[in-house]
This record gives sequence, C-alpha cells and structure tokens, in this order.
Amino acid sequence: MINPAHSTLTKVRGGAVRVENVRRHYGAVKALDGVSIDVAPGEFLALLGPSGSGKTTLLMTIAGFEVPDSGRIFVDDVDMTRVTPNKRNLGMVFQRYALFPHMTLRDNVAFPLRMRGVSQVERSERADKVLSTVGLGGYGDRLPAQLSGGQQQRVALARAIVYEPPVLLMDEPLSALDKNLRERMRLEIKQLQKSLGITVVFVTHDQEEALVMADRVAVLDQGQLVQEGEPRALYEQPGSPFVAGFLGETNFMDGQLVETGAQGAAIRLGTGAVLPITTGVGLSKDIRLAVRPEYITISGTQPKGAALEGKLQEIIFAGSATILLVDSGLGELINVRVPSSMDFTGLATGGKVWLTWRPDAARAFSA
Amino acid sequence: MSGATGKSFDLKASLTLILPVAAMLAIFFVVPLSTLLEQSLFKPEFGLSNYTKVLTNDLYLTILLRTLRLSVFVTLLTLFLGYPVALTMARVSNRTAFLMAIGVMLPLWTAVLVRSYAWIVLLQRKGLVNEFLINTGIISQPLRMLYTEGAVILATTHVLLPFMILSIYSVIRSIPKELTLASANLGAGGMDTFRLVTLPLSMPGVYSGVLMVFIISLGFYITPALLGGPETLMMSTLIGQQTTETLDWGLAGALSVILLIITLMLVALFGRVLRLEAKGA
Repeated sequence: MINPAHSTLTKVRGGAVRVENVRRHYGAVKALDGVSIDVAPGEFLALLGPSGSGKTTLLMTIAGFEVPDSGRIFVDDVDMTRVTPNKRNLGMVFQRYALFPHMTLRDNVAFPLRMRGVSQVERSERADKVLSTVGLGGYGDRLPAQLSGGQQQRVALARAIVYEPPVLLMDEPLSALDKNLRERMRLEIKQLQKSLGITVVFVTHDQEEALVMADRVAVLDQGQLVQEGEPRALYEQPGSPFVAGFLGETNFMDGQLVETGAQGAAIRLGTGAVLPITTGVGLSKDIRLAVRPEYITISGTQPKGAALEGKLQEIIFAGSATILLVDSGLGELINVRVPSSMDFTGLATGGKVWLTWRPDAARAFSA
Repeated sequence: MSGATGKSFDLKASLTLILPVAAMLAIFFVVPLSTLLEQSLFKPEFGLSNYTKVLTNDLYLTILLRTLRLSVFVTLLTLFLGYPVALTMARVSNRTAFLMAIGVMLPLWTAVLVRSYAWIVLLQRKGLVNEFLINTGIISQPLRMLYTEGAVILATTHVLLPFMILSIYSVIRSIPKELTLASANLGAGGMDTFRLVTLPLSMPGVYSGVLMVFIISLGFYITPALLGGPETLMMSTLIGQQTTETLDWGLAGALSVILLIITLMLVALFGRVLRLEAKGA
C-alpha cells in the first residue's frame, strides 16, 4: 500500500510540459502528425488512444527516446527537443517496469541518485525511505525477481520519484496487473501524485483508467490530438463519433435532421420514430446520434412523449449493473444499462419496450 | 498420465529419446577413453611410470604450460576482439545484424584445414605479409612468422572467434531494450549504462564463451600442428606424435588423461562461478 503520509519526499514543484506541433513519421506511417498540447504544473494528463494512435510515441518524444521530425518539446520553458534522455531529469515508469534484474531493490532505487553523484550512504538511506513510502520498507535487499508484479510496479514508481523530478512519465504502467490490483493502484498513484505535486503524463488505452486518474484527458487517433478536456466534459460532450465510441460505450443511431422550430431540432430515425435533440445548428441533413447506455430510460409501457419502440432481446446481469439489449429495427441492438436494483416488472425478454432519453443526453454529429 | 504430454515426457519416453546419443557416446567416447586410461596404466608394465615420466620431465611440463599459456592468450584475444563485435551486432538493426552474423559464421563454414593453409600462404617467408612489408620498405629481411607461437595464437583465435561472439551476442540480445532506456532516463550516460547495466547482464555469455574457447583451444590439434614449429609443440600435437610416430601408447594415454583432468577441473571451476552468478542475477 502506497502511503504518501509516510513520504519523506519534499513536495516538488511540478514542471510544465509544452508539446509544440510535433511531427514524427516512419516512412508513410504518421506516428505523430502535428500534435500540440500543454500540461500545467502539477496536472495529471492522460494520453488516451487505441494502439497505433501515437500516444506512446508522444511519451517517448517527451522522454527523449524519439526525436521529432519537426516541432518542439519544452519542460518549464526550456527547449528539450534535442536534449539527450539522460540530461532531461524526467521520471519514467515503463510498461514492464524495467527494473535492473541484477541489482537489489535498494540499488535499483538508488541508481538515479548514484548518477547524480549522491554519496553511497545518503542514497541508500533515501532509497530505503522511498521504498517504505511505496509500502516496501524492509525489502531493500531483495532482487526484483523475488517480487510480484504489483510490488515490482511500486519499485519502478519509487525509482522514478526518488530524485524528485518535476515531471513523471508513465507508459501503461498498470496494464500488466490483474483487475483488482489495477483498480487499487489507480487511486494510490493518484494520491501520491497529488501529495507530491508532481506533473504526470500517463499513457493508457484503458478509457476507464484515464477517466478515473486524470485531471485532463487527451484523446489521440492516427497521430493527431482529437480532443482534450476534463474527464466528465469529454465523456458527456464528445466532439466526434470516434471520441464518443472510444471513451465509454455508446449507441449510434443514424437518421435525418428534422426542423421543429423554436423548440429545437429533432431526428427522424430509420424506423420513423422522431426524437428531440438539443440543437440542429451546424449539422448536415444526415446525422448520427450517440447515446450512452446508462442515459437511456427503458419502460414496458408506452410513455406519453416521443419514444423509440423496440423488442427486448436479452437481459444480462453484470453485477451492480444490468445490461438490456433492445432490437429497435435500426440494425445494431441498442445497449441499455440500468442499476441492478431497478424495478424490472413489466420487462420480459421478447416483450415490447419503449426507450427514452433527455435531449441533452444525446449527441448529434453530421454523418 | 502415460506417454508424452504437451510439455514433458515420462521417464520411459525420455530414455528412449536419449538412447541413440547415449549409445554413440558409449561406443565412440567412453570405450576409447577407457582404453587410453588402461594403456597409460599398463604399458609397458602396470604402474604410474607413464605419469611420473610426464610430471618429472621438464620438456613435457614446458609443453603443458605452453598449452595452458597459449589457450589463455587465445581466450583473452577472442574475448577482447569478440565482445565489441557482439555488442555492435546486438545494437544494430536486424538486417545489419543478420549480415554481420553471416560474416561471423562464414569462417565456421570453411574447413579448419583450409583456413590453416590460408594462414600459411599469408605468413610464410615469401608470403603475402612479408612481400607487402618488404615492398613498402618497412622491413628489409623477411620476418619469421610461421611456426611461431604468434602464428598459432593468431590462427587459433581466428578459428575460435565465432564461438565467443555468438555466445556473448545471444546473451546481450536477450537483455530487454527497456533496461537501457530506463538507465538513460535515470540519468546514466552511454558509458555508465554499459558499465552498470549491459556489461553485468552479459556476463553469463562471457563465461560460457570463455569456457568454450579455452577448452577447445586446450585440445586444438590441426592449427598448432600445421602452423607451429618444434619449439611451439602443444599437448595435442605431442599426443599425436606419441600415437603416430613413436607409438608410445602408454605415454600418449597419460598425456591425454592429464589434459582431460585439467579440462574437467576448469569446467568445474567455471560451473561454480556460473552458478554463483546465476544466483546473484
């Protein structure tokens, strides 16, 4: 268990990172295609994207392992673009921890201090203290191979913060851990980050991880920054079908824009059902509607207003939530997520159901 | 469960599988070896006379020490020439590494005899090296290079270098790239990363390469026989003389057994070092 209260690390001033129009092409592959992003001191930024989106290349460019074809990287207003990795003074946690297998945990953690000319006695002392901060006090003499994955992860974290770097880079550090441990580590890392005041740039392909941990999420796709924002804003107001689909689950429904005057706009779906949307401004005639499964209300009786009619195909119990699959005749089944504590009377597999949602819960995009 | 499973064989299947090799080793290795041992003890009459002859005769002891000394030289040379090559091979792109590997392996695919004669062509009195040095005016009299210790060390190093390179390369290649990245990220320059990360992690390859080259050069025959002279006589050539010229099988047996015992002792010693290293890593 990581305990920031036991930390002897002084609160560092988090560094500001500025990525300026960075390009990196490998032949025809555009790993990074003009990405710009600012990370504020002390901020936790998650770089989220599918594999091949360029998120890892971006992290490696900040770390100095990749040199951009064009564009610049600044840390605290110092141009780092051509600075070698060993001179950047950034902390980094690798996906598979990258602990030195021939060194004890103490020597692993003391390594960056040794490179900075800290005396043998002092660096052992500091390494031991940081090891206790990450819950591994007394493990200093062990070798990495004698630890579990979660413990190795903590050592990698200890090694990356022991020299109090202004910025900590993390490359999918939790992806190798099992689910329970992963969920606990998310919160622990988050707490440690807050108490240290360190700036974190965190690469992940796990949208839930990004939402839980980050102050701000930047979504990348095909080498470009698609959208960035606070987790909730990004989740509720995705700027494109890609973001809507990648960040959380979404039901997509295709239809036509119907003007309904001063009250707002509406969409006519393929089945003929007309449902209100907040605004039609700036949308083309053909539109694609995105509705989150948990924002849909399902009912076995026909409600008064506009509703989408369908047949309840399946009820799937998934612990705290229950998933209902509804065939509305639009092609793909509509996914509805309700709390398992909901009253299910009147809802039976094969029966008729009506789906409704608040207009502001649906996002419309030009198709 | 009987028979072979996905991962392991039962005892019967295992024995069946190793039987051909075990039989071959028994017939072509254990039998001649026991014969040698027997002859060293019984020819011309029962006793340790052959062994006392070897261990009290200055000539034989000189040859033994020379063999050990040359083997050490060859081992060190292959190590210092081979390590940088192995390190480079592990760091360049796959394509370049493949081309380098072919370059390293090419001598292995050429018969030792051919390579030894090639060295004779190069090193003899009117050979390429002497002609070149005389024509460029660096020397006026041809140097005596052939039939010297230097020639034997040079040619043996040439033959054994691939073993050292491949042994070290395979280990360096298996060191995860992330470790060198982590080392750089933590503030280490290229030299520190090599000294503190790459070198210690490559030691198993160094040990196995050193062991292999040293043992092979202890008993190396063709190259010393062709490129060495009377004053560079080695154990293997000496044993060869006893069996083909003087026909003193008892002495040949004693020399072989002594060489074998030295080799086994070294293997045991290295085994200890390797085991300690494995525990440490």
